[in-house]
Amino acid sequence: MAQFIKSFLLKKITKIIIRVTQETLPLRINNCTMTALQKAIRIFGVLFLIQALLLATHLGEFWPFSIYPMFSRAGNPWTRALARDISAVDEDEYWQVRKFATLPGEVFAMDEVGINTNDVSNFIQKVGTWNDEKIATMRNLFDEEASKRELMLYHVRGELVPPNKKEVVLTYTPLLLMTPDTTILNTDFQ
Amino acid sequence: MFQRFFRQLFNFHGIETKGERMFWRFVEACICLFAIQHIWLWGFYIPQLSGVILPLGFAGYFDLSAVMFNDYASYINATVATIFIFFAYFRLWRWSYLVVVFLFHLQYISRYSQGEISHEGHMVGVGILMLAVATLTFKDERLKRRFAHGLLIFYVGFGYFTASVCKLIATGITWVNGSHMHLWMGERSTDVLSQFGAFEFNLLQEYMLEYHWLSTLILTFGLLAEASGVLYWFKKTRPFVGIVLIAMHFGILFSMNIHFDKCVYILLLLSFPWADLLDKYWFKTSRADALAG
Repeated sequence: MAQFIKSFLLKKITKIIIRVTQETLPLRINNCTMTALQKAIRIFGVLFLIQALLLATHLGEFWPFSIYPMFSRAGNPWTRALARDISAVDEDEYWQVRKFATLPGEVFAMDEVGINTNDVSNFIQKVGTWNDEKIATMRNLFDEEASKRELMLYHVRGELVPPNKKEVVLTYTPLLLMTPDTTILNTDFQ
Repeated sequence: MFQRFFRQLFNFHGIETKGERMFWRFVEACICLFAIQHIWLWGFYIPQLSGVILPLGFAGYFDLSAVMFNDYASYINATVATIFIFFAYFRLWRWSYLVVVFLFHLQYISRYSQGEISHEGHMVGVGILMLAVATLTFKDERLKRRFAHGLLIFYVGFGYFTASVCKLIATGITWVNGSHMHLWMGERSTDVLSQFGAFEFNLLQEYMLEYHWLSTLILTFGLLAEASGVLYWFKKTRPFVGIVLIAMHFGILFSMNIHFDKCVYILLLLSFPWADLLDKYWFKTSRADALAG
């Protein structure tokens, strides 16, 4: 269905571009304006064509052009990141999957160290298999703070609960423990 | 039909007034300042990054991390871009805006190489690109202004419209289901908590969580507002669509804590007949006077 709509839209856009180009020829306004308008429409047609080609070949995103797909996929589960300071928490409490109300320690604001939480969330989403290099990349982001205290990075998953899919449930899974001495990945999570 | 459409969009035949000239220089200055702000904010953030997770734009064709992810590259890029914005605004070199588009692109693909895509910088980027296209294609300042203005109007409306089409293609008409809003509110509350260490639902969000129909209603409004983007192309409907889109951005701010400041400022600038108001109340003149004079 989506494929059909895409090809349909592409055909429509191509038709529009062809018509715009054709329409530039028989303009009947006063001479001075005609040249400017004709030129403007042609340039617009070329710009629109370039935009269509760039977007079609770059998954709808080639800055500053975009198809603006933000929030277009509704209802799908999401993954985000949340860091907590667990310096004062007992070690037995570290590796349990939890709901928000029972999370151990204090929330760690990423803004304090100039990290954008969206970047950490996206790293977690797209990391694939965690290897030493990827663990080190994440550790580097928090290194200044992780050398002073114990931080746990949580993988947060949000989803609508079946069957009626009206209630939202958030699950917090411990992912990466960063202490002054070491960095430990939750291998169960892998 | 096409002729009429473009004639009203670019309005080359209309008389230019003092108010229009002054207003467009102000719009251009705002776009330039927004661009400088983005370029520098991103410039300060980029040195923290080390690898490319999402290769956007030209990043798919060369090793971006080798070029941009060092201590100074993003600052140098921001400095050069700022200098060229200055050149462009004061008409010192015709190609300046195009150079700025390239440098701005480089800064964007570096900043958003981590997987997240921010749409706020797009409208500012489109503004700079349209200024570049108009500057390179027309020498006459009046035609240049009108062309840039028309192109910008078109792309603003088109952007909102494609956003609504994306939603209908990716999810369908059920996109407006209030449960989807609740799911996004959970996502955004996690983001705000993670970023700033605290989060509390505001009154609107509490009502939305309590009344499912209210969330559905707000999403329906959002979808219709975006779909009305095509009406932004026409002078008569533009102020109304502008108000609706600005209201939608406030809705996004209060329901999901997402700021689209620059989009709101640009909509405020482009949607209303500020030039006519300037002529009437500042210059005490009108288009008829300009025609006679």
